Amino acid sequence: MRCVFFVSFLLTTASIAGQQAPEVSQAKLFTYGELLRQHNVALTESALTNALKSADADVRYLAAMKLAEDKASDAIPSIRQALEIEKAPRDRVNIALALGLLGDENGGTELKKVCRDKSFVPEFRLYAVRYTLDLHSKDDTDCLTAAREISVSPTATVADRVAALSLLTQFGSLTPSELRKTSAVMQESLGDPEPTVRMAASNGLAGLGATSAVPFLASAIAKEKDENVRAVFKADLARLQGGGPH
Amino acid sequence: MATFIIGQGFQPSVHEGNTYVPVGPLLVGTQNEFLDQYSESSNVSLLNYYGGGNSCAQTCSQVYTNVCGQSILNHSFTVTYTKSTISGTPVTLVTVSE
Repeated sequence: MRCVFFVSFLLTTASIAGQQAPEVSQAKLFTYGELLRQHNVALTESALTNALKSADADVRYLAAMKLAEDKASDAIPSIRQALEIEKAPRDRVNIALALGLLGDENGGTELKKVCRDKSFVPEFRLYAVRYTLDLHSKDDTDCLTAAREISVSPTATVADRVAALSLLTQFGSLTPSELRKTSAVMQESLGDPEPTVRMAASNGLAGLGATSAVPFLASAIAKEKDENVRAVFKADLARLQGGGPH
Repeated sequence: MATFIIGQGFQPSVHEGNTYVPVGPLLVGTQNEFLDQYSESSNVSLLNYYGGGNSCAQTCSQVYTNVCGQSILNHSFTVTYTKSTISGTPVTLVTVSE
């Protein structure tokens, strides 16, 4: 048995010091059943199947995930039907994940389709990337490409670029060619206008163990004007050179 | 204290008004694993607010126990706070490492 820790990088926010007391909060983890009960949905298979047609978008995907958690294989046709007519991007990927968890190949196929779809909302396209990794899909090339595209996309938000760079370190067994391509976009991101993205790129290169990027990171340290970013670059360079914690 | 059930998945949510709003991707539970998450958010940049320098770090340790109260895992993690900006707005980045 092992424990998987989801490490949140987070915390945006600003405002001038002294104007208001900070409100610090943590995200809470809810089971699908807990959230469905908050929406007054019973947890029987028939109630969950009906909830796939709910007007509430959250209820639709939560019902699909609860059915997957309950291993309700006989609900697969209803979940497929729900996916076919689903328009909300978050629901599309979450319902596809539910199908994938139930062993239905339509789930993985839909997630890869979303990965290929450059017009899909980047935040949820990255969900598809993450879920494809969760499902241990054998061919995740489309999703690897999607994460690379989003990490250097000028139209993606800062949060999406950071998330994409983080996901890029999670693809196992990259071919030398894929490793070069992934390392290249991370090196490109070392020059991103946003400091948080530059730090994520540096973390990514260290996480990838891309020793070929050492000269690029050294050069980025020399050019970097932000003291905090430079400190992160230096720590990651030390990791890459084997002199720091992994 | 929270209970983590092996194989159970989660939807992270944040409290807004009188309700919890789902945020982020679903956390997929699999056999033989249980999930935990660390997160922290604030409406102000904490290092700017408290004048805590450019960065600081805190290491915490925790013990996971099974339903019989037996220790099954000792774990420590380090939370690092770093001053930065997003689109010119001061922020404090929070990262967690094992």
